[in-house]
Amino acid sequence: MVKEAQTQAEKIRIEAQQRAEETYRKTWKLEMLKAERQSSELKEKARERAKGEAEVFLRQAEEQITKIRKRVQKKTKEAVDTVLIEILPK
Amino acid sequence: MDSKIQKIAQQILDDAKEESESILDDARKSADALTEKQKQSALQKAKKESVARMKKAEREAEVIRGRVTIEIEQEAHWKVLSEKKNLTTAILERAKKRLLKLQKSEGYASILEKLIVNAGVALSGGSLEVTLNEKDRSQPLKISALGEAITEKTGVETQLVVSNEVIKPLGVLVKTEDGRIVVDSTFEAIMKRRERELRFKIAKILFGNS
Repeated sequence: MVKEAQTQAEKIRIEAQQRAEETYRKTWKLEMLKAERQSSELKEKARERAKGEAEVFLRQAEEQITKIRKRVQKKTKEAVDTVLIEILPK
Repeated sequence: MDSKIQKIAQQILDDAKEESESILDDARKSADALTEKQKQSALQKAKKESVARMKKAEREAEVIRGRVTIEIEQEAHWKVLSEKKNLTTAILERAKKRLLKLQKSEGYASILEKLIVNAGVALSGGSLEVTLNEKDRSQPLKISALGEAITEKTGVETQLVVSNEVIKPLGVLVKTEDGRIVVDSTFEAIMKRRERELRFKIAKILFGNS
């Protein structure tokens, strides 16, 4: 009976060893997935924040374009005349 | 006597059973402990690795942030430049339309004449052929007087003839008799040759320092 129990105990130990290795692998994998998700979230947040902050550059560009168009309306004739003066023979 | 032996045998069996249970119990406990130990070991190692990965991710996030900022800044800069380029092109197009109107004006023949003389001088006179567009062929051009003007400026006897060929653009094409040297004084060619300089001058007027 004792011999049988020893054999059974040995079997339990072997199975336990395998289970422990499996547990180690699964735990590691799970934790790494968590870390991967967190780092992806961090990078995505940084990208979104930077986009938001940089919107100001696009707004400034639009404002600049509006100003340029207004100025061009007043200067068109002068510019066209200049081109003609330049290309017509003297 | 039998009962005594039976009692001893039973005692042996009970002891063996107890020892067996104890052996199995120990095995189960040590199995559970091993599993837990491995789990904790994995967690501890993973924590260290996670911290390292997060630090790396923080550095990468900073790089991404800088890159996105630069990209958008460049996009904004490009939008302004693109608008300026389009506005400059629009001025060149307007100038081309004004040239077409000029073709119907009184002074146009004189413009063509100046173009012919300038081209003739550039070719150093001689026997030259002038090619015009269909409409310009009906302009009252003083061809022989133009030849004389070129002779006077170059010191080389010059004869001009109007070619039977026609060109599409406004302006003139003047070439030597053998056709080896051509001066393209069509406005299309003049504008193309001087496009860079013209764009610069237009930009200076339109945008100043902006």
